[in-house]
Amino acid sequence: MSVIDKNYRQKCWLARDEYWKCLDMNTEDKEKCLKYRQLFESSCPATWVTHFDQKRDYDIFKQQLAVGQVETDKLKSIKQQPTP
Amino acid sequence: MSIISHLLSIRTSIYLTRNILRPTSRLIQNRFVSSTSLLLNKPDIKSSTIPLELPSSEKKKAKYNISWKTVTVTVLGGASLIAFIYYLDQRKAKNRRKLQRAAVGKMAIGGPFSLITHDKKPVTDKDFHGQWLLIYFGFTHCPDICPEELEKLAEITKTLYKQKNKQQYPFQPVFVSVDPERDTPELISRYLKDYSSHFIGLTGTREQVADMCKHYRVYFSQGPKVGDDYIVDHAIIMYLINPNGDFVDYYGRNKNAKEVADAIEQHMNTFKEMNK
Repeated sequence: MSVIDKNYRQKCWLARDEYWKCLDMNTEDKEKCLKYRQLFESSCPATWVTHFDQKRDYDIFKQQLAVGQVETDKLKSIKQQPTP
Repeated sequence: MSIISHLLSIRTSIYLTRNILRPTSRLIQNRFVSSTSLLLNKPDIKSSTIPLELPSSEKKKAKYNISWKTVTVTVLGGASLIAFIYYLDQRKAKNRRKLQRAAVGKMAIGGPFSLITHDKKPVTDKDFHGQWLLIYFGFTHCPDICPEELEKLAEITKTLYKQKNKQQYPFQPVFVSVDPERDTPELISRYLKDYSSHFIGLTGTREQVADMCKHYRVYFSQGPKVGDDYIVDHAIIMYLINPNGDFVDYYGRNKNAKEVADAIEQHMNTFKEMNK
C-alpha cells in the first residue's frame, strides 16, 4: 500500500486530523498529543508529515493575522536575528 | 440610434411630400391656369384673381390625400421599419459582445504537446481536436491538493456528462503529470481510477513534460528529497481548451466544481453560437 492507493491516503488524512484535533484541544501542546503524533507519523510518509506540519503552522499564522494577534515575541526574535 | 433618426427624417419628408406639398403644387398650377386665360382674354369659369382658399373640389382632393387610411399605413410602415432597424442594431451589439468574450481567451497560453497516455498510447495535442479539454497538472505522490482538485474535476465531469446529449463536442478531463520520473503510465492508471473512469492521464519524458508546461506557463519544481521521496511544488490550475485546440479559460482553487461546470457550459454555448 502506498500513497497511490486511496485507502492509504484516507488513513493518513484521518491520523493527521486526529492529531490536529488533539492539538486544537490542548492549545498546540505537543507533549499531550504524543500518541496521536506517533500514529500520524506511522500512517504517512515523512515528506507528507513535514508538509502537513508546515501547513498547520501556516494556517495558524494566517488565522492570527486575520484576528490581528501575531505573536510579538516571535517578531522580536526575528528582529534580533543578525541579517544574513 | 442615428440610423433610426435618419430614417425618421426620411419618413417625415416622404409624408410631407405626399400629403401636403402635392396639393399645394396643384394649387400653384391652378393659379397659373387662371392667369394665362386672363391674358388670352378668354372668359374663365374660375375667377381671374388668385383664390385665397382652396376651392371645394380641391379641398376634397387634399383631404383624400391625408385620410385616416394613408396616415395609418404610413405610421404602421414607419413603425415596422423602425422595429426592423432596432432588431438589426441589437443583433449587431450581441455579436460584438460575443467577439469580445472570445477575444479574452486569445492569451499566449497553450501550444503543441506530445506525451503518452496512462494506456501507453502516444498522443499529441492534435489528437484532442474536436473535444473540450480540462487539463489539470499534478503528480501522484501529492499529499492533499491534487486529490482535492481531482475530486473537483471528477464532479465537474459528472455534471457535464449529464448534458452529454446536448453538447456538440465531447468533454474530456485530462491529468498531466509534473513528476514524469515517478509517474509511469501504470502508476497514473492506478492513481486515476479512484477518481473517475473518464480521466485521461498523460506523462512522458522530462523534456516532453517540461515543454508542455512551458507552453502552458505551468511552474513546477522538485522539492527537497527525504530518502527517495519528494514533493513537487507546482501551479494549481485547470485549463480549458476548446475543440480547435485553443486556450479559452483557466480555473484556480478558488472556484468550486459547480462554478467551473457552469463556466464551461457557457463557453460551450458561445462556441456553438459563433460556429453556426
